[in-house]
Amino acid sequence: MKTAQISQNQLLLFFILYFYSTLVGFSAGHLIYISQYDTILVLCISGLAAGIYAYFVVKLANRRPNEFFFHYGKEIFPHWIHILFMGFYFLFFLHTSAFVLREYEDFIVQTYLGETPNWAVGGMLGMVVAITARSGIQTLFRTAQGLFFLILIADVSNTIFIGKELKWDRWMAFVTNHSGHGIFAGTYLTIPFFGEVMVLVFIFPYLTQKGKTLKTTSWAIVLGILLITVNFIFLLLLFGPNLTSHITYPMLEMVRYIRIADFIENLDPFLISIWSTTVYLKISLLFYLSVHILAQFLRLKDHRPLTFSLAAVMVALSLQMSGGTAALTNFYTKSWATYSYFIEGIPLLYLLMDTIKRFIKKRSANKAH
Amino acid sequence: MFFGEDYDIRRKWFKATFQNSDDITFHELTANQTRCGIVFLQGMVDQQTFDDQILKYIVSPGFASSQKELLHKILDLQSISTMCTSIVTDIQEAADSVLDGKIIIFFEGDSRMLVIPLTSFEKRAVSETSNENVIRGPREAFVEDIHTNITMIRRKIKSADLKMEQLVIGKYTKTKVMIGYIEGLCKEGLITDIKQLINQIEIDGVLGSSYLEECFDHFPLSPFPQAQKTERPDVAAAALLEGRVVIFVDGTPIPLLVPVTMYMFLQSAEDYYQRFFLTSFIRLLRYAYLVLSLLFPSFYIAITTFHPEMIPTTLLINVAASRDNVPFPGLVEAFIMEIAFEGLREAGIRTPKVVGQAIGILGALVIGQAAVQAGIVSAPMVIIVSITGIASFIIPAYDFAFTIRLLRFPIMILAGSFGIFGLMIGCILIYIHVVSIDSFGIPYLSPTAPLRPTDLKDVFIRAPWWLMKRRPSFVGSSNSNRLTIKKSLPEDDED
Repeated sequence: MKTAQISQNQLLLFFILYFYSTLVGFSAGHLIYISQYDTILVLCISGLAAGIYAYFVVKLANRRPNEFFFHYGKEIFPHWIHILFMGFYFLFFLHTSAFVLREYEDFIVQTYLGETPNWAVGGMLGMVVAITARSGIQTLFRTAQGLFFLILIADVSNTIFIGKELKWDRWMAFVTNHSGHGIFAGTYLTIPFFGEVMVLVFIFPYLTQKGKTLKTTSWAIVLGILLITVNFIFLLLLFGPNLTSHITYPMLEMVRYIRIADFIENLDPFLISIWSTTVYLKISLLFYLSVHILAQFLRLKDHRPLTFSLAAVMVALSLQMSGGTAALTNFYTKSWATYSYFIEGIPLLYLLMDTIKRFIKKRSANKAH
Repeated sequence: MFFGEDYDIRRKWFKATFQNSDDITFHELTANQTRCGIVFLQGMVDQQTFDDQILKYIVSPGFASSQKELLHKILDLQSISTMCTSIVTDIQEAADSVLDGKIIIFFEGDSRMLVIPLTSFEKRAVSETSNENVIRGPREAFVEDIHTNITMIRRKIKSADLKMEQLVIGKYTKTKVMIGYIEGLCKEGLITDIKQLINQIEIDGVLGSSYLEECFDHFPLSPFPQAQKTERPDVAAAALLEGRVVIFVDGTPIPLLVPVTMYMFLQSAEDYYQRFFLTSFIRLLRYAYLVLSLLFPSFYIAITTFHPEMIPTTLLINVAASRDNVPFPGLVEAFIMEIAFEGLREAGIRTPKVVGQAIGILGALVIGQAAVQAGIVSAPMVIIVSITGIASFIIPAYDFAFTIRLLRFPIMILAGSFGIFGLMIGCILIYIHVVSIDSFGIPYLSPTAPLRPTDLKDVFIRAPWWLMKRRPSFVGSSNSNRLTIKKSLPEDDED
């Protein structure tokens, strides 16, 4: 399998877009509902926690930098436990990609394509995701590299154009309004978002200049938070926390506020379509990882034959996973964070076990001497 | 094939091989009691020079006193003549030389045959470029003759490092292919790869460089061209100086330039002959029109069908009013117009120049005016299609512009079915494809994906020459320094 294809620059830009995608698009309302004006603080604390978590993830990956997690994991845990964990990961990645796809389907159908069925939107995006996964991880990261600047320009223009609509008097609330419970609950919900840096364990052999990975990831978290924070501050200054938390897609509403020179009244379909590419990137990576793990389960050298069939499963799963947006939101608000902690904690278990094993091995070697 | 010294056997073999080929001239003469056979292709050799400079001396009584001396003197032409005469003993090789426009002389009692390259045939004179016009740069264009083309390059690059390696391809055409590159600038291994690819091709004939291009495309199903074509010697020379390879094919005035990236198709020779401000503006304009050419009709369809709120109300009312009488949905309307435009464009190229103008007027009148009045299409759609048509002609590379025109149709279908969402899906699909292909190992979207910031100076804009001190690193070798400006220090005042 060809490795060392993704540069650190590509990793940086990809992670920024990865963090930015769904957190801004789909989770803004709920996070602001929980944390109100503390959202910015929550983002910073979550970023810090994710940075620490990334340190351990990179440490684990760095111990066998050119091997795939699927292969070396069985040296750390007994084979059947490792297989079980890999099964969890396969389902997690497939489920999360289907979940994000469903969120996107609902969003598009509710806002722009009222008479289009979910399956049509899911099928279209599923096909694109399958083609991307088939093209390989290098294509995916290169795609992100090219799209990054377009998305950045769109986001910066959005914030510039919306500037005059903001109610700057609300600034003081960022200093005065705090709630311990809000910070805790918000942080609990947000850490797993950034904790998805655990994908590094799976893609590590593909990276070039592996020694810089932690630095790159840390920068990605910092820059990602910066980009997200600007959007969240603007949301709070524009709508305030109460209105924001009662809108399903607050970012969309913010974009709809843009008026340019009294001529272009609604740029939102254009800007939203640019933002949509970040969602596509996120789904593609998650889906690629599920295909990758399945290919390794089946001991296939090439993952490509699986992509279209598994993409069909992902689309079907996205359509069947919930009865509607309410059920989807319920899963997200009630269960998603805990579920993610469980999954994201697995690499730490591997690291712990590997460290213990190394320690025991070292001690017995010392005794033998 | 080797037939020894026997004159008659060789004479019979030539006669048999070239039976029913009346353009092959077989001439026999006796010089100093030695029979000589002369074979050549009529119209392909300079008979006058041959008669005056060679034949006249051979048959003159004082040329040689014995057969041995005659053979010695004639065959010695190889070492004294500047015509690059050669000697062959393989009769098949001799026959191939005849077909290549050379004169063969063979003798009684000697197996050696003299090959005289007095090739001369009618060829087109160097003329002005017809497709890649410039205002300030050189105007000469390549011609069909490969040697003339190479001379044009050699006149520009006077370096021993400029190499031209010849290959012959085509079972029947035996077409000469020259691979030109500058040693030290070209990436190691690239020439070997190209030669290997060309040698793998077994084909009846090569009548144009496109035959080779399609055979060595790494992604044969891709609509995107994977080799650049040019009719301009200066463009070919610039490519060589960047470390790229130029493949000349005899009989075609358009060599191939490899490797290529997508951005190279958006560069014009004019860009390097005008000041960088102007060039940069024009290049940005070109990119804008590239997007227009690909997406404008789709965007219009998406907006009018799914997102009418995007356009100002007064404009929306006007558009709606003009579309009121049109019985077709936006997508069908756009398809009718686009297909009609493509038909007109193709007809304009194929028809004689005199008629071409009439077709243009007729097309504009019938399709533009009458179709709107008849209520078949709306006036805004005519404007959209016209702007898109103009936009596609702004792209300098014809084949790349064609690809963009072709891709417009599936995107129109997506936009007509899913609005802006469909448009986005179409763009992503194209983007994934473009990101995943390469040309001889160079990613098609270099230097943006993968990103090489130092090479961006000649992509979206054209930086001034004094800033482009290094060659583009993604195509050539690591030998990257191409410009140094030595600044002269001001002279010290004596007082």
